[in-house]
Amino acid sequence: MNWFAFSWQNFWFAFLALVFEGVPFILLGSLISGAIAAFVPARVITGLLPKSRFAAILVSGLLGVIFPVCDCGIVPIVRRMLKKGVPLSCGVTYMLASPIVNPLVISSTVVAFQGQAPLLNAGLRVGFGYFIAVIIGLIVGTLQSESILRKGLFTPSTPRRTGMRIAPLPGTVSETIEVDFARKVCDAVRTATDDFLGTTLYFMVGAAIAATFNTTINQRLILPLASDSSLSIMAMMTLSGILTLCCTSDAFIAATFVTFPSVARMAFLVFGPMFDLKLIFLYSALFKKRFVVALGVGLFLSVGVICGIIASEIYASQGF
Amino acid sequence: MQAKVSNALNACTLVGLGAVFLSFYWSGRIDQYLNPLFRPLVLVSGVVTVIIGVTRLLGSHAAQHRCSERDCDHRHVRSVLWSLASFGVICVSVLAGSTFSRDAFDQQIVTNRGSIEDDGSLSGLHISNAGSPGNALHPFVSKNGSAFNQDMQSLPAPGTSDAGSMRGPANGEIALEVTDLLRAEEPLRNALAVKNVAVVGQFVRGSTETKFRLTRMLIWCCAADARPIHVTVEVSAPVNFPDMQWVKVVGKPEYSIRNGHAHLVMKADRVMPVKPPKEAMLY
Repeated sequence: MNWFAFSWQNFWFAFLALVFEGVPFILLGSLISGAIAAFVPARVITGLLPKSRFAAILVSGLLGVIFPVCDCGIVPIVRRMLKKGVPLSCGVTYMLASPIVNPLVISSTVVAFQGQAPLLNAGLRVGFGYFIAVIIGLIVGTLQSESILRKGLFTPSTPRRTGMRIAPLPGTVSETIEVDFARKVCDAVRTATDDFLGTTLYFMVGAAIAATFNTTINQRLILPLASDSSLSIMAMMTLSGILTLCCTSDAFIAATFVTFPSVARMAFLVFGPMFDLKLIFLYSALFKKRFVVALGVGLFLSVGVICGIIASEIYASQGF
Repeated sequence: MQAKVSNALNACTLVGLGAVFLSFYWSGRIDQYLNPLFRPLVLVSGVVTVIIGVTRLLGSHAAQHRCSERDCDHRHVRSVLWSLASFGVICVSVLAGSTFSRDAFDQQIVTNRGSIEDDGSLSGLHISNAGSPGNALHPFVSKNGSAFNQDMQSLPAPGTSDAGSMRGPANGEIALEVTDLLRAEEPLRNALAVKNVAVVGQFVRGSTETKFRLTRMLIWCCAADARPIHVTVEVSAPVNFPDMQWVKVVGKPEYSIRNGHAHLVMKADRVMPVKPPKEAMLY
C-alpha cells in the first residue's frame, strides 16, 4: 500500500476548493478588521474586557459565542484588536477559542454526532477547547510581546483623529461630519484590502501545502493505530492538522472514523481548528516563526494529554 | 513611482482573484466545489474584490496609503517586490487552478481516503440534496430521512394494482442515491429487496471482474473534505468501465448484518454509462 500518491488533478481540485471556502471568510475578517481600525476607538475595545488580566483572558475565550469567527477569518481581526491595545494574551485566547467556542460549530458537532452521544461530544469539545485556549493565553501573558509578534505589530496604536481638522464654521458641522465619515470609510476599505492581501498570501501557500497532503496521504495507513489509545490520539491530531478542514465541517469527518476511540476523535475536534497546515501560514502573518512552532508543539501536547487523561475518564464514566 | 506600481499590482491581484471567483460562479463550476450554502459567498467575494480592485486601480489617491493607525503595519504591502509575490502567489495560482482543474477527483482519492460502506459511519448525516432536481435520477424521496422511510413503506410492490400510483420513472425503477440505500432501516430494507432500484454513481473497480464499487463523494463544506461512500455491486457478467466513469445501476439491494452493521450488496441487472449529474457531490 503506497502511503503517498500525488495527482495534479486532485491537487488542483482540492486547492481551489480550499480557496473558494476560505477566501470569503478572510475577506469578511479583513473588512471587519478595516471597520475596527477606522471606526472603533481603542478605548472601546479595551473597555470591553475586565481590568483583571485573568478575568480578561477568561472573557476572551468566550467572545466567540457573541462574535463567532472561523479559523480563516480570525487572524486579521486579532491583528487589528492587538493594534487597538487588546492584550496579546487575550488576543491569542480569542484566536484559539473562537473556532470552537461558537454557536455554529457547537450545533454542527451536535448534528454530526447524532446517535453517538451528541451533547457529550459537543460539550467536551467546547470545554476542552476553551480550557486549552485559556491555558495558552495565560502562558502567553507571561511572555514579552516583542518575542512573539512579528516586527511592527507589537506597538499598540492610539487612535488618531481622521477627517478635516478645520474648526467648523457655524452651520457647517454636518458637512464636516460627512467628510469625516467618507474618509473613514475609505480608510477602512484601504486597511481591509491591505489586511486581505497580507493574509491571503500566507493562506494560499498554506492551502497549496494542505491540498497536497490532503489528497496524497493514504489515510488508511492510520487505521491500525485505532486499537491503541495513545497512538490513536496522536494519529487523529496529525490527521486533523493535515486535512485542514473547516471548523464547521470537521465534526462530520470525525464522526465517520467509527473505528477510532472517542478520545481520539475528540483530540481531532479540538486540535484541528486551533492548528493545521493552513493555520501555520496564517499565524505566520501575525507571529514570529519560533512562536508558531512552539504554539503547534504546545497545542499538540496539551490536547493530547488532556484528551488522553481527562476525556478518557469522562468517556469511561459514561460507558464509552 | 514605486507606490503606484505596487498599487497597480495589488489592484490586478484583487481583480484577477475576483474575476476567477465570478467566472466559477456564473459558469456553474462552483457547484462541484462547494456546498450550496457557501456558494453565494463566492459571488459576494468576487464582486467585492473586483470593485475594490478597480477602485484602487482607477483612484488617483489610492496609491497614497493612509492607515488610521499610528504605527502602520502595511509597509510591506506597498513594496513592489511584495506586491509582485502577492500577484504571483494569489492571482497566478488561482488562474492556473482554474485552467488545469478538471472539477473532479480521480480514483486515487478513493484509495487515499478510503470509502464508507456501512450505515454506522453515516450516523448523524442528513443528505440535503437527495431530492434535488439536480440529481441524475430525480429521486422522489424527501430530504428528511423519516419522511423518506414513510414514503417507502407505503409503496406497493411492482405488479400490484396500486403500482401505478408510485411516484418515480414510468419504468417502475425506484431512483435512489447511494446514501439512501446505506441509510435504509430494517422495514424499508425488506421493501426495497423486492423492487428494481436505480442508482447513479462512479465506477471503481472491485476485487473481481463481476464486482465493483458504485461510489459517490459526500461533502460538508467543500470538496477538500469529500469522503467517498460506496455500494458494492455484483453483476452476472463482467463489466469494464474506466475508473470514475459515471454509471447507472439497476438491480435489487440485498442487506445482511455483519458485526451489528448492515452490509449492502446491489445485485445488478443492468449497468450502463451515463452523463455526470448536475450535482456530482452529495452534501
